[in-house]
Amino acid sequence: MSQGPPHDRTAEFETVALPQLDSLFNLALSLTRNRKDAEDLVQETYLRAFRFFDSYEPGTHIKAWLFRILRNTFINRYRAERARPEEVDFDKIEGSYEALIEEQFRRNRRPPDPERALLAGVPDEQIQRAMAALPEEYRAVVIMALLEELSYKEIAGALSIPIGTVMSRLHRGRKHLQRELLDYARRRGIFSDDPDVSTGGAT
Amino acid sequence: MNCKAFHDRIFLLQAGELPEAERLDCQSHLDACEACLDRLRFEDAALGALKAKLARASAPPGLETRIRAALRTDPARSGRVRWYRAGWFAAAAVAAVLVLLLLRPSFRSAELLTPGTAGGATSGTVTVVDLDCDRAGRSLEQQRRCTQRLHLNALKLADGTYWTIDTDPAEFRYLMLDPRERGQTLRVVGRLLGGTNVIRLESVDRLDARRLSPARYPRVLPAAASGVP
Repeated sequence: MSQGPPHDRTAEFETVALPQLDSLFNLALSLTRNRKDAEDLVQETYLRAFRFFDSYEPGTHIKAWLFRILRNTFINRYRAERARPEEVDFDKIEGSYEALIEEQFRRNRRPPDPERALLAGVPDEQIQRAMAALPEEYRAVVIMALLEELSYKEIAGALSIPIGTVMSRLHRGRKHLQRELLDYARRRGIFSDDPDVSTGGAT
Repeated sequence: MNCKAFHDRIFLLQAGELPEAERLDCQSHLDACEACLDRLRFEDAALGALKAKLARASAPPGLETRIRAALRTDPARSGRVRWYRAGWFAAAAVAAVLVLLLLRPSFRSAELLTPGTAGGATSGTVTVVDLDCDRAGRSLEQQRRCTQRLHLNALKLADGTYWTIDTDPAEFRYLMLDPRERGQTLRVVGRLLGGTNVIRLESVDRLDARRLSPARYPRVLPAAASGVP
């Protein structure tokens, strides 16, 4: 980075880093599950990032760099004090997600208008609860991949984990969340459990 | 490619993370398998619905102002930045830690220990590596020459796993940041944070006294002699 006077350096940092404020707040909120803690975490992240601004390489992915600092700050300041959420049994989720989809495809050769079905009336809280049940390291990957659309490589860099771990956490996290959507849709009768509605034609 | 193999790759296909050859295999399979095409449409719909439900929250009003004010008004923080920028702070910190290490009686012990825990502390014999380069299979020599400033160091255990270094305490932060540390063999004691592979270091002993002097950098033993498999 440039070696100008401190006020220039602050302005340079703000120009580069502050446009990412919403993204950082989203991730912080997902990790802390508390708006006040999320605000504190984001502020601390920016102050730490400013201290290490010399280690940022201009032109590289600023969001991934800031995510990395935020995640480290979260671990330092918050994670040790917080109880972990109830563990999700991913092996069970994996099996039940596949079973749920296969069941729907068996009963209905093609699920009716899946977009409408999945969105119809599923309250946001349903997904937020499902997100909250995910361990923190899964939530971070899901947010980075689905909301921020970072590549697997960028996420691996931000979280200091192998790309294989990114894939595993994202795919399991997605299945957990999509299963909630499907389950809700099924309970609401959007996907019928009645074999009589089947149009036949198992895959 | 059969249907099971296609199902296993759907998420990667959606994310654009499949190698070109596998993507073409998937496309060929889709051309011939209507059931998998339906499954892909279904997963696209599910992904779209999920993204719509994961609505983005905006930062609260006032947060940006508070951050701008904090960046400008905290003299300790801006002071630290100037120290780092002056260049000699990192060298002084390294020198201070090296002096401390020399004064520690345990420094002279070169006993290689396997990772273990005692009294809540975790210890192990590790090699400092550039995490990204090491995962990419680059040699320690290449890692030390790496100029990617985003790359951070990590501690590699004999079994090939890594501990990433916590940003606290500040006295060991140089181990995370300084490329010249890559290739060093250390015996470390610390605490793994909350079931992660992030270690908060409590003590660091260098196992090869010959490499203590910064003047010897960037000379580093070849990988085969560093304990890295």
